[in-house]
Amino acid sequence: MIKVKRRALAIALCLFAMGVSANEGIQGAWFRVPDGAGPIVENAEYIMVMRPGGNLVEIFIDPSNRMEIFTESRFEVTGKDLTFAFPDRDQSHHQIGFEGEDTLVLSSGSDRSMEFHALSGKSGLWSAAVKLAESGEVRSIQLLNGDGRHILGAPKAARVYLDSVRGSILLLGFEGARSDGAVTRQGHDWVVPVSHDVVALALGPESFLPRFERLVRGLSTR
Amino acid sequence: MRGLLGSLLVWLALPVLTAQADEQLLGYWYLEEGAPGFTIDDVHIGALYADGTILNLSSDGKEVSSYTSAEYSVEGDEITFIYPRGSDEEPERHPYRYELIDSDTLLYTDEAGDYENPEDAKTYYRRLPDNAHLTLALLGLAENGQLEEAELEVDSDFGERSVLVTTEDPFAQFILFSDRRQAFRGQINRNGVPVVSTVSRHLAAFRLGTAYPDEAFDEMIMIMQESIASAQKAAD
Repeated sequence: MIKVKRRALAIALCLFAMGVSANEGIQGAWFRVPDGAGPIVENAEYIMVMRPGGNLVEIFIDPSNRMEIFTESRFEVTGKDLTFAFPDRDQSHHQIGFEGEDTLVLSSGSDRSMEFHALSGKSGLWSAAVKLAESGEVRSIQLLNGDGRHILGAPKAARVYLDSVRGSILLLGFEGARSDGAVTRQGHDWVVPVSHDVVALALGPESFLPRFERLVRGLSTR
Repeated sequence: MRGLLGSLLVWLALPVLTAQADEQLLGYWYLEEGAPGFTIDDVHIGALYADGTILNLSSDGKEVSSYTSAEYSVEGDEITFIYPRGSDEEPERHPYRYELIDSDTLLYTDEAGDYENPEDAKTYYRRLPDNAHLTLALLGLAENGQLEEAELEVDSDFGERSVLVTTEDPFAQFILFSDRRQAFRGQINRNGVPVVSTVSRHLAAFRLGTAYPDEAFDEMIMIMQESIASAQKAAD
């Protein structure tokens, strides 16, 4: 009992010192859409994940639906002030505001304010892709079947390229369907559901399977 | 059901015909053209059935196609392949002398042809190995009239070999993943219905599309499993 209490206290002190706990509402994934586009993740051009501890995961989405991922940036919250620290750019300072629970508004002095929308945990393929990006081991993600073609029967799919070339991950989104079970290869996960309607498949040699297993298991337990 | 029925018919026909045809002739034979050892990448397979019908399965490394209309008859050490032509024409007949060199090697000699080098009259077929699960699965589908189209990809992202299979029902497509070095296990269900199934330890099937009737996929899996199992049984 005493041990647990002490530990909780230690964590609380630690968070306070970093200033992150000041605004827990800001933690999570937020996306931005171009001006005039509807606030749905399919229109997103930028997603940022504000992780506990101040890690910022940035995802830039180009018109060909390729997501480039950067995990080197950091953020810090003090009261209503938010500071981004980028490795290759100047720091930027913003004021935090919310419109309801799902819209984050960042304003900075004379600049126009920026609107971000909360990525719902139920966003199927997108949630799975973003969670994988959070691992820090993903280089880029290509969203597939923009041309209406189904990949392995899936209306939505994405190929996740890791920071090594030994293997990649195919995410298959079956909206509204519940998948269960698993297919293994050499005793390792090969095709597994990572959320209720997303299935992941390992593309690569046998040596890639343990890494795949570790990455996708991280998704379903988080 | 159709798969079960098909094999049942073959079994029933078997005792009747073994009296005439050499039982050792029956089964799957492949023409070894490239490197020794069997792969489905560039091959011709002739299946000789007890009821006198033939199934041909050919692959050029991109497409696997089947042909089922031919028949054969055996008399002594002569085998004649009979290919139908137009309805009012006599079928084509190609007689060969056959010889079982050993239980796994079959030699056809064309004695009617005029060959400068007598070796050119000879064609050697080898018995299909019982671990050729992908090929056995495709043979099973073809035997049941279900192999409409099969697109083969070698060393694809999905493993050693993958085949996109279109069955008689154009909406009933699935992909077979084959890897003879790997063991597959398990199954994935979507809304309680199998969508990824392991056909054998070296073969997994991935159902495509939603218009696919549930029972149809199960039936295809059963046909393929049966075909692999009966080859195993024959080898034991």
